[in-house]
Amino acid sequence: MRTSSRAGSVEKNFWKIACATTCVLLFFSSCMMGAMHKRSTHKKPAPAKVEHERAPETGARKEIIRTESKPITLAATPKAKASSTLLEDGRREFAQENFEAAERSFQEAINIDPANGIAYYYLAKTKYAQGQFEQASGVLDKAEELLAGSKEWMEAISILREMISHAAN
Amino acid sequence: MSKKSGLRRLWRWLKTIAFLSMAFILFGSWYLHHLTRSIELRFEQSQKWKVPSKVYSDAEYLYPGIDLANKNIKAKLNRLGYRDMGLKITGPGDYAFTKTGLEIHLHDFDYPAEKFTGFPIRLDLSKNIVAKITNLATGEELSTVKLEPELVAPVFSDEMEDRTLVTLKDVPEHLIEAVILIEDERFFRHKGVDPIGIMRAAVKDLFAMKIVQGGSTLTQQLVKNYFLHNKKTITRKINEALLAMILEHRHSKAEILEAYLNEIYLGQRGRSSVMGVGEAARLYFAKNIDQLALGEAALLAGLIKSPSEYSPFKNKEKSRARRDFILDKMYDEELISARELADAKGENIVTPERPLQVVKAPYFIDFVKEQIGTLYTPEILTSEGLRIFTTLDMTAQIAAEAAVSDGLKKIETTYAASLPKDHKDPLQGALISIQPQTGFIRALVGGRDFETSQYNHITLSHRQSGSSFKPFTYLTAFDPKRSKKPFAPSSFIDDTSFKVRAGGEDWSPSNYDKKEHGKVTLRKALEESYNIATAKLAIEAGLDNIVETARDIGITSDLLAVPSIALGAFEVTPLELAAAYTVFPNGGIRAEPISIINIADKDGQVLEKRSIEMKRVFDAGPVYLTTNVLKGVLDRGTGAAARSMGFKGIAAGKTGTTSDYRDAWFAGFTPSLVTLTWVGYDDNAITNMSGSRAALPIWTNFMKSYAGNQQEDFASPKDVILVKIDPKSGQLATKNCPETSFEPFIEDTEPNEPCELHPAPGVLKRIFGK
Repeated sequence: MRTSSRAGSVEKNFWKIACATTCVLLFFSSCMMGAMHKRSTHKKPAPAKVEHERAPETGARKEIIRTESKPITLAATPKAKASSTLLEDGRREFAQENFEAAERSFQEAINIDPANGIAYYYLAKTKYAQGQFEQASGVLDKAEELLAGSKEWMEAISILREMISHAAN
Repeated sequence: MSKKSGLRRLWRWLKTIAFLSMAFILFGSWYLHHLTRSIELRFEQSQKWKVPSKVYSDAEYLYPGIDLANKNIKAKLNRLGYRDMGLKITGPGDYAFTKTGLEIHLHDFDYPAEKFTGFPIRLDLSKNIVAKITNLATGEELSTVKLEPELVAPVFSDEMEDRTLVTLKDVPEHLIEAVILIEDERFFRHKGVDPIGIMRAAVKDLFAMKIVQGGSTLTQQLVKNYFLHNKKTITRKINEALLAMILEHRHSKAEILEAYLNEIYLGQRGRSSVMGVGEAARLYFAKNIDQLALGEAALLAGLIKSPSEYSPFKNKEKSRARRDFILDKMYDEELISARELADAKGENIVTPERPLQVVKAPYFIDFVKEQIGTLYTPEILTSEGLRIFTTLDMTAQIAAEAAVSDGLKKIETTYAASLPKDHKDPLQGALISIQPQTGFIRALVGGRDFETSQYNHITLSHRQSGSSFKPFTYLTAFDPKRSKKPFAPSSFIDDTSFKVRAGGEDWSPSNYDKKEHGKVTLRKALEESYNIATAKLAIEAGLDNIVETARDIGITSDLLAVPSIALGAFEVTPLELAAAYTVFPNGGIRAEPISIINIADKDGQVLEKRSIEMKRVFDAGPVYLTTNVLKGVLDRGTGAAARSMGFKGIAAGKTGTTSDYRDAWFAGFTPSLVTLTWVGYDDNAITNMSGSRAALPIWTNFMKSYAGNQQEDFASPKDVILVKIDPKSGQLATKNCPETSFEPFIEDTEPNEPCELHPAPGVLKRIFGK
């Protein structure tokens, strides 16, 4: 009786075990697939996110891709890293009001990495400190373009812009 | 009577003698005074040596992660006067490629307001990429180092003398000892003239029955150098001796020695004379004077006798023999020990690569001189030793010069049949390359050959811009704030011949292929450079608006609001046009081109500086749309030859061909470099060459060599969106559109109507059918 019941339980449980094993296998294989997929697409840029909208008035389907605002990443590339070292040098000089030396460092930082928005911001600030308002404002335009992704920087830029226009008038 | 007359005669004689001696004394003292004055004047002058101003390139930064593939670092180090030591560096100015990387012992360099003292570094390389930079003196890891600026050219007076001043305390003792030993052994014992030396020389001369050797002291040699008298006549010799004695009387031995060491001729660098031991140490050993080894000092002393004969550039064996001769003599006089003698003789004579050309970027230098000419007199420029630091990148400049010269030769051989027969002047070409974010001019080739024509085509010539101006017509049209009507790259324009009245005459544009293309997208029209479509677009966008755009990008010539303006029917300088193109990679900001960063005096004080100047002149959105279309010019349109020539970097640009094929242009850019090339004749003759045939290959070769195949793309501003449209209708793509593409628009100017050509069935229609 016991034996038969035990035999019966094995038979009954066979499906349970099979199901569980299959589930586990499926789970692992899907994980593996995912990992492999990830690996294979690792080098390609992330596919652009297509947004579906309805056009105003006509209500027509509209597929659009928006520019994703790039986060301001400090020293993401080798030249950005090298540039940020010079930026730090410049900021030290700026803090000590050595504007000439600061300006040189900021220009060098830009020279190495022309996409270093923060360096343009500080260059503008240095020019402002030296009373070169028009030049400061032009350089700030460039800082604004490069730092558009950061709220904090945009705030700092608008404050500086106000200071420049106030001083220039 | 006779006694009386005898006395009278004696008296007369005495009077004559007294008169004569008086006259002699008077003349003598006048003459001595004259000599004293002239030598003092000269000596004083020479204390303020005429040191030519020097023009330098920009410094080169090295940092971990930088790819040296396009930098040609070995050539750069050679130009900077570093010496290739093979496997191991031993001292300042050396470099060596080791198994794992590159070791350099950096030179000292006086930057404006900053003195840099060189130290040894190691760059660990992985393929061509710098993995790590280590200061070998301290073991410290460095985030960046800079290679000093390259000397591009000295600004000489007519004398063409180049020197680096030294003070006596900088000069190694061994060098002073060797110079005195070999040139004037009794220097400290004579008073300007050395009778013993003269006797020795006279005996020799007597035997030879002509003047073969002068017993000249250092002081006499110095005097001789001052007045550049090479003739060996007796009067000259006497004068020289007198002057030397005067000099010795009035100045200390140390002053005279220092003057001598700075004045003596020691060889040639190209066409300029290298004067003094300071400059010679740089020329022959790439070192500062205080860094010379014993053997090098001995050789330098040995060179004085005949720089051309003993030059280590010319004959290493001969110069080794001369060096060893001097070292032996120093040992005999107990100036050096046996050990020092052996070590110095064991030194390898390693010279840096010899610079053949003194002026490396002649048109650029000319341009720089023209600018500083307004600030300083020629006298100051040729004598005060100013140092002018510029934006030039020599690696770019060399690539540019090669590209222009090779490109023109190639045109002449490949298209000889198209060019006019027996044209009196050669075909000219020019190139300028600017870093758009700073306005730094990185390379400038103003013409084909500076020796034959100094005319700078980049900065001076006014030529029709032709189709290379077209992008600015499109830029105006894409800008909702400027254009009368909104346009996008996918908008349509009619490329069908039309006539307008302009300036009292009928004007009708035609295309280069003499065909009409009907309804085309603006993208297609610009990619293929259609004239009719572009002129029509200009009219629709507003001719006044095009003029305003031209002003904003810095075009200064007279501009009329006529339709031909859209096709570049006005003149620009290539410099103006290149500067205008900086707005594209710079998101609408125009950078003022600059060539001089700063000017310092010989003590390192900054006299003048120029700094980055820029201004936003366009919104980023329309600029991005234009750039996006201009990428297509290279990928598919009139600039596609660049791709077939193997240039793979992300770039955009526009060809330009003026009416009747007089000017060929190409203006193109990557996110970090704007380069413009031009080909044409000076007398405006017809070349029969289009921009893509003549100017584009030069541009491509330069960009391949200098910019490489960078894959950094142009940054898209926030207000630009990509919308899926049907390119046939330019309207929103529906499910039924067989062909769709994502096209850029400035947000809120995109189409909102579904494609009329392929309408999608509505929901009700889908359920109930027709």
